[in-house]
Amino acid sequence: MPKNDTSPEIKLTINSKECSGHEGQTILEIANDNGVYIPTLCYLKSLTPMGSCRMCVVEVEGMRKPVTSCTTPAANGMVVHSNTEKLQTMRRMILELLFSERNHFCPFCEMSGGDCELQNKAYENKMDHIRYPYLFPDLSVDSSHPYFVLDHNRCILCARCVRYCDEVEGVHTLDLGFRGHNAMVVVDLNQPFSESSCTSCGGCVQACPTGALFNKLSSFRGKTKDCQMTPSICQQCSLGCGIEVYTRGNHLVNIDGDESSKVNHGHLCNKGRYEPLLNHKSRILRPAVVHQGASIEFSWDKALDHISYRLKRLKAKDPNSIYAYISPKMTNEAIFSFMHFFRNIIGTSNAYLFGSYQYNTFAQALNKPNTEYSVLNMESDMSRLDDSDCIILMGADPGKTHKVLASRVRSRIRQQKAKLIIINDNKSQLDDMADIHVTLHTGTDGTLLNSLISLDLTSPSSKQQVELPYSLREEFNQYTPEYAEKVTGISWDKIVQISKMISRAKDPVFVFGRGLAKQNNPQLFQTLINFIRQVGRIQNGKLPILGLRHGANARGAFEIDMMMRQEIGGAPEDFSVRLLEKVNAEDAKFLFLALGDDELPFLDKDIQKMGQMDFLVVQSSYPSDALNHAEVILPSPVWYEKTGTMGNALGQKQALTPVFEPQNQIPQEWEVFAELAKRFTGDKSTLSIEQTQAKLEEIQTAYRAKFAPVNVDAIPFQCVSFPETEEGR
Amino acid sequence: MAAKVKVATVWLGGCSGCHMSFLDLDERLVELAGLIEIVASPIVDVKEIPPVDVGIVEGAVCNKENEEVLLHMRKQCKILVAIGDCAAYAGVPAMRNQFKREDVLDRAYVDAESTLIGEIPHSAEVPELMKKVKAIKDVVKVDAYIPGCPPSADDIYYALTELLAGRIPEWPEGMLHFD
Ligand code: SF4
Ligand code: SF4
Ligand code: SF4
Ligand code: FES
Repeated sequence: MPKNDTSPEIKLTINSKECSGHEGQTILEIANDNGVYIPTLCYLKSLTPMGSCRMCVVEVEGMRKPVTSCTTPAANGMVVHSNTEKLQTMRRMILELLFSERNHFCPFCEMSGGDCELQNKAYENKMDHIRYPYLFPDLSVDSSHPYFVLDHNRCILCARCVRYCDEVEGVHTLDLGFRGHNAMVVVDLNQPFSESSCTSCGGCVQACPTGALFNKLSSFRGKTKDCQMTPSICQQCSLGCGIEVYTRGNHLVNIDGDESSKVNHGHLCNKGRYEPLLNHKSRILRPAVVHQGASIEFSWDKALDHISYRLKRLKAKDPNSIYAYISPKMTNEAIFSFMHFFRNIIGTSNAYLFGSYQYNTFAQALNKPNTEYSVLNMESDMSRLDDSDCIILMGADPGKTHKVLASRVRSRIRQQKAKLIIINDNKSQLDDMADIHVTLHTGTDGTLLNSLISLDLTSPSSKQQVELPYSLREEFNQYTPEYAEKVTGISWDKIVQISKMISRAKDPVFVFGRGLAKQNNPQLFQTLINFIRQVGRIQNGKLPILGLRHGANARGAFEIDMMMRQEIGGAPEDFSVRLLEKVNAEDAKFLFLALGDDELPFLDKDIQKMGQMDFLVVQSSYPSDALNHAEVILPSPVWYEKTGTMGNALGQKQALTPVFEPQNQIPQEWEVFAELAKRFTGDKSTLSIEQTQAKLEEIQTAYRAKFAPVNVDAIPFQCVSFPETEEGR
Repeated sequence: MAAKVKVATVWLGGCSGCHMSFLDLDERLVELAGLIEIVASPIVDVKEIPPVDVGIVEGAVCNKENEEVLLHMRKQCKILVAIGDCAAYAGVPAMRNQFKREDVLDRAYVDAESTLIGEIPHSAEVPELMKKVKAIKDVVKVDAYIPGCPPSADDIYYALTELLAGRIPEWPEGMLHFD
């Protein structure tokens, strides 16, 4: 039960302390808010209380029996005692029952020694022996999951894992099965984990108070108390979830979700929790110059001298023959220093951000110069999903790309708080949960949207429609059932169902992904926006649209990219950038690829282009095909070594905390670009990170001040015709 | 000078770790030697248990001999102390309780990887294994507990000084541990 500040205030006394809270809160919640300790086991703040362990029993004056404080609503004037002798006796008995019910061999348990809540409670209650006979049940251990183990011997049936899997990850792989003292946590229909619907988020492991669920990768590598915890930001996708990184010596031991993060509230996916622990890829550790096929290690100074010598010569001839690309997985500071160096100092207009088309097309759709900052503020953030009653995924597969967002979608659906519509040209992870899911012919999303607009025009569903001129209505009328079916490959029936579902919703949210972005067509987004206008769902000028992009810093990097273009003036017409599409091999002589720890899917033709350069510099953490033609190879720090800030998909700037010192003292990427800049400006010293950030902030503020918010109504309402693709003819 | 408190110790189905922890008391042993007298123990010459004030028992009850020794100890002592997880909770030896006794014996004597042709020993000299391993409180009345696997020397010192002061030790949070 969330704290509801608007409900009337109530006062109660807990252990003679005056406590205040709100109607609707439980006794436990009010006690916690007022700093009164009540022991718990099955309670977890983020989950619906269940009252199964009875640890939290309290006595309320006037009530006949002790009650569980985690489930009992508080009432004004209540007098509560949480630590009477009677309660202490009861707690001790409850604990002894829990210990005698299953097989707890603490000396052999990974959680023993601080990490087990059950054991901690036993210590708290001075449980130095157990008066009940042990049952010694014959229980199994399921170690079939690649990341963790479920040991039923240590399970106390608190169902934290069950509720977590259901309410937070939204998968409901786990449940309680069987009856009475035979009750067990069951995986799906009592299957091994390896054959289950589990998405490997690891949330149940983090939620489990005992050693019944424990991580394989971090086991016996250090208890929490032996580890150092560094809070940081996950860099595996553009959501930017908060993480807690546990390290011991120079080992990564464990990663947990950071409960204080506004993005994920402690939840993570397997990419954030487990994959970083599994990464044992070899790294590039020293700068090297490739000479006649042999790579020779050089000092940073020498390598950078070598690069700037070449750059100087080309700059004098034709700066535009210099091409430079940077990954949106880099920090704001790196993007800034990079663009500053290549655009302002070298003077090339060929400095690009990989994948910036993902934002740019959207920006263009809003009919604003593509350097407009505020377009980003038109998009909603992830929290919008929590209020939505209809989620429409278009060309997006968050179950693969943005998993924490997928879990938010799933839990809304599971709680029957929202409908789910999936429109994709392929199968996607959430299909099974969708109320409607359709597979359309690739690239026909626009035609589908036109048909939906046309449908809404003929059978109006909402009051807030846009008044369209007759001629335009005529144009939309051409989207007949036959035409729509033929082009999109979706049956008219389904299209009608989609239309009805969206128009019935109060608060639909459209989530688009690569499937839409890759079409690189601003008019497609315009049509989407116009459909939203048509069904009257724009609230407070914010579009109920959410984009899923590649790259941890996709949004932050794009903002800076736009600003910097504006700063130098003469922004190019279009700066959609997909891999090396922009490199014109005719005049390109020099190519700088700042990849960092991003692993981009270069195509053969990209690698070919690299081969055609006179000079190729690759800055990367890991070896890859991109190194094949490199003249100079520069190492890059990896996620846990990075310092700086990133802008997540919610538009928040978040600071990265380095977990370890960079191996071999590899400098931060922004330092490398600043070092290069020094060789041109003649400056003696490089800017510190603080100075770089201050400068960035300064430009950002000035930049933001310049622009008024986008006015959606200024977007032309047109009936754009979209190409019919091969399949849909 | 008051008479020394007579103490006897035994180890049943345990690993002797608790007794080793006792030896870990180091120079505090000298101090204790002025107050107590260990009249019988696996770590002194006398093994035969005479009547004593305090009997300290390590280990769980795994076989008939363990049971006999324990019952005898109970008769001989005024205060019986369970030392270590095995005595207090049945502990690690009880890990076999999930299996049938016969299966456990087979696993050890017949099916062991190093055994070619094996058989379960059945001489009268070898005490019979109990069906289930028991904590000592399931066989006799226990007066005090020193949990831990093993308990630290500090724990043992604390328990003994409490007993000498005439109190049954209560384990403050921060001191109690099961590992
Ligand atoms: S789960 Fe806790 S109580 Fe059970 S064996 Fe492990 S540490 Fe001991
Ligand atoms: S890892 Fe996640 S999906 Fe799998 S069972 Fe646990 S909570 Fe459910
Ligand atoms: S596995 Fe852990 S979280 Fe799940 S019911 Fe058992 S003790 Fe609770
Ligand atoms: S915490 Fe309240 S019953 Fe478990």
